[in-house]
Parts: sequence; C-alpha cells; structure tokens
Amino acid sequence: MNTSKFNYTKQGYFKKADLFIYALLILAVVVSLFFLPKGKGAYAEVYSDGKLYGVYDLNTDIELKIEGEEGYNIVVIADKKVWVKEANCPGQDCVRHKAISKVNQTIVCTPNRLIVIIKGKGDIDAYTGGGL
Amino acid sequence: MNYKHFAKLVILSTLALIIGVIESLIPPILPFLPFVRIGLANIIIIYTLLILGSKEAYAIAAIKSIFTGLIIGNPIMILYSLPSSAVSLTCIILLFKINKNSLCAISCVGAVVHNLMQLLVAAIMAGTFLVLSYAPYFILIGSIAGYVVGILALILAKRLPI
Repeated sequence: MNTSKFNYTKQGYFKKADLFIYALLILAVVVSLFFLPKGKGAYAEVYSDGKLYGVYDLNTDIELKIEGEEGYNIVVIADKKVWVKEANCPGQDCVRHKAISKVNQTIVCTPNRLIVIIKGKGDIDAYTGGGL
Repeated sequence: MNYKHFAKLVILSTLALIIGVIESLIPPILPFLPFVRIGLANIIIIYTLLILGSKEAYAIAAIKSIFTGLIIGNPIMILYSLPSSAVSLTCIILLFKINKNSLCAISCVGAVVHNLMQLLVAAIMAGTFLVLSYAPYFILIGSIAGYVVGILALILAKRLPI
C-alpha cells in the first residue's frame, strides 16, 4: 500500500530543468570561492566562551591549555600554523581539523565554545573594536 | 493510521538511526574537513517521502536528528541537524510538488540547503561569519552527496517498495 501522493515510479534520473539547477550550483561554488581564505596569517585570536582569550603571534611556538566552562582544549602554535592537539569534547572535530595558517581560517569547537581565528598583519588592531 | 503503516514508520526510523550512528563512527572521508559526511541516513528520509508521504518523512527526519545526537553523545549536533533537516526537507517537498526536476537534482538542492543551514547555525553559534569560508566545500560536497543520496533513494523506492 502506497500512501504517498508522490508518483515516483515513472521518475527518471534526469529532466531538462535539472540543467538549470546544476548550472546554479556550479555558479554558487564559483561565487563562494571568493570567500576562501587567502594570504598568510600573522596572529591567532583565541576566543573562549564568547570572550577574547588571547592574541598570539604565529612566529612564536606555544602550547596553550584553555579551560572553558564546558571543557578544555589544548591549542598548539608551531611552524606558523595553529591546531588543536587535544580536547575533551564529544565530537573531536576540532582535533581532527587540519592546521590553519591563512587569514580568516577558523577552527571552531562548538561543544567547548572555543574559536581560533587567524588574522593578517593589518588586522591586528581590528580586535580592539569588538570583533565578535 | 493502521498497524501496518505504523510498523513501516518504526522500521524506517530505526534504519535511519542505525545508519546515522554507524556513519558517525567511521572516520571522516576528508581528513581536512572532519565534519563532512555523505548523510547516508537521508536515503531513508527521501525513501520515506516517496513511499509514505511528507508527514512521515518529517517525523523520521526529526527522530533521526534528535536521537542520533543523543546516542553518540553529542547533543549539540541536534542544534545543527534539526533546523537544517526541516528546511531542506521543506525545499525538497516543494520542488517535488512543482514537479519540474528529477529526484537527483532535487536531492542535490536539498543537500546544499542542508549544508548551508548548518553553516548558518555554526556562524550564529560561533558569533562570526568567517565560517562562511567553508561555503565552496559545503556546496560542492553537498551537491555530490545529494546526488548519490537521491539516486540511491529512487532505486530503492523502485526496487524495494514496502
């Protein structure tokens, strides 16, 4: 017994109007490429629980243990890159995330409310304006 | 609602849940984008839409979103999954009613809408729109995953209609 109002049995795998959708999707990918991060970063801004935790120079190697209200993350800066080495969050997506180094790249750990954002040389005074 | 209909709903929601949980256990396909998944459980949601109807598809999408997050112990996932599933399923049903496109293309749109909604939730949760830089990956991967899910759901509905 088929209770659905949709007649799928005659549905094929392609209709002419699909071309419009595929063209639109390709256009969307091309347009969104402009949002891709470019340029080498100079500083890493670390936010914990919605507040700025600290700003770190990418040239200085450091290992930070950031204790938030929900848990901890260990953030490593080395080799002009930033990554999360360890965290006690359930997803572990932040730990698996590749190291970031380009302007505007982010690592977000939603369960622990941790955000790392890379900033360029000219952006360093931007965070005094509030940023987040 | 008769018992037969109810039994189908139970079987399909269990299947969606099991697939969702298993998919969250296997390692990410793309190591540099750890949150990217094909969303194989969505095959069941689209299959339900085809076989049983839109109300049932909404029910299974909600059950899948809420319980997958709870079972794998990551309740924040629900915040991403639930609104995204609702919006993308609504788009899919609308396009289906307009009846101009094939299910594969409709599923592509659904997956891309789902991904962009998740990105929007991430932007709100993180408080920064910088996460939108993931958009090209999300649209491209969403289109491919949506196509795969759509074609599998259609084959399944044609060969194995319950």
